[in-house]
Amino acid sequence: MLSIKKISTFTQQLLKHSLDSKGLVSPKLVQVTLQTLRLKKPANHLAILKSYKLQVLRKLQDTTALVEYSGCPSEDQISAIQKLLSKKYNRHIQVKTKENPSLLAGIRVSVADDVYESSANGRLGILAKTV
Amino acid sequence: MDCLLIFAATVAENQQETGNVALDLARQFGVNWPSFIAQVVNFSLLTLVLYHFAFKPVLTTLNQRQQKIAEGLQYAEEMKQKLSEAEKGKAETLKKASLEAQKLLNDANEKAKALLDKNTQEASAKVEGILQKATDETERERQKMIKEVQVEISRLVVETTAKVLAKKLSEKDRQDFSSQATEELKALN
Repeated sequence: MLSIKKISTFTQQLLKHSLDSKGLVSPKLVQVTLQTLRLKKPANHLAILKSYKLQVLRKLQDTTALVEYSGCPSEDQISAIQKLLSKKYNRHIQVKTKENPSLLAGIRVSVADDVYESSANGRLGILAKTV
Repeated sequence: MDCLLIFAATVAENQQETGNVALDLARQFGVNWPSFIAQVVNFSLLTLVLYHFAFKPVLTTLNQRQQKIAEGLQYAEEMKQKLSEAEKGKAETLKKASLEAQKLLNDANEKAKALLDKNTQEASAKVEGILQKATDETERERQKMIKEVQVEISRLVVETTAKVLAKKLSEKDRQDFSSQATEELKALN
């Protein structure tokens, strides 16, 4: 029976094989990895699958920026945000956009646990706290 | 007149009889020595007997009585003196007791006064504390209420502003805001 540490090390190696040249999680490579696991069925394959899923989700969170907006930003602006974040975190960051009318105007960018917000709703919140 | 004559006759008669008796007495007057000596002896014997059997015991009894009376008097005098001393001691004791009682009373009064003062001060301090606490509590409640009102007003202002903004902002305004926000994000880096 494999220990938790060995499983974690093993799934980290699997994750490395699931990343593309930019260091992003590649759906195709993940699919291949899962097929291989299904065929080989290593000992504790269920625990390995759970650990692998966790690592993939964590990696996706670290490499994905969610840009919420009210007033759709232009492609150039989104590209600028992506470059900016990639430079800041020193890794390639992919951007996903989502409209959020509650912001009233402006954007909110979330990367893993970090949140950057410049919106009318955020400023009103600050105003409310200040008053 | 007749009465006087009768009285004179009677007096003369009596003078005649008295002269006769005196003559008899004069004849018989003198000392009868044997009778005299016998009476002296009798008297001496009687005196001796009476002395031995009557006077002496009576004198003894009298002496004893006198001694007893003297002792009684002395005892009475001693008792009187003792009584006087006892009364004096009693008076002193009473005076001392009275002084001690007075002292105790004064001490008790002083202690009662001190206790009363202390209790009064404590009660006063407690009342002041309660008043201060009530004042503080009122002030705290007031501040809390003011804060709650401020928060509520802020919430209403923000909510109203948000609703107004949601209605009034055009798509272009929103896009401009987003562009500005992107620039701010760049500036943060």
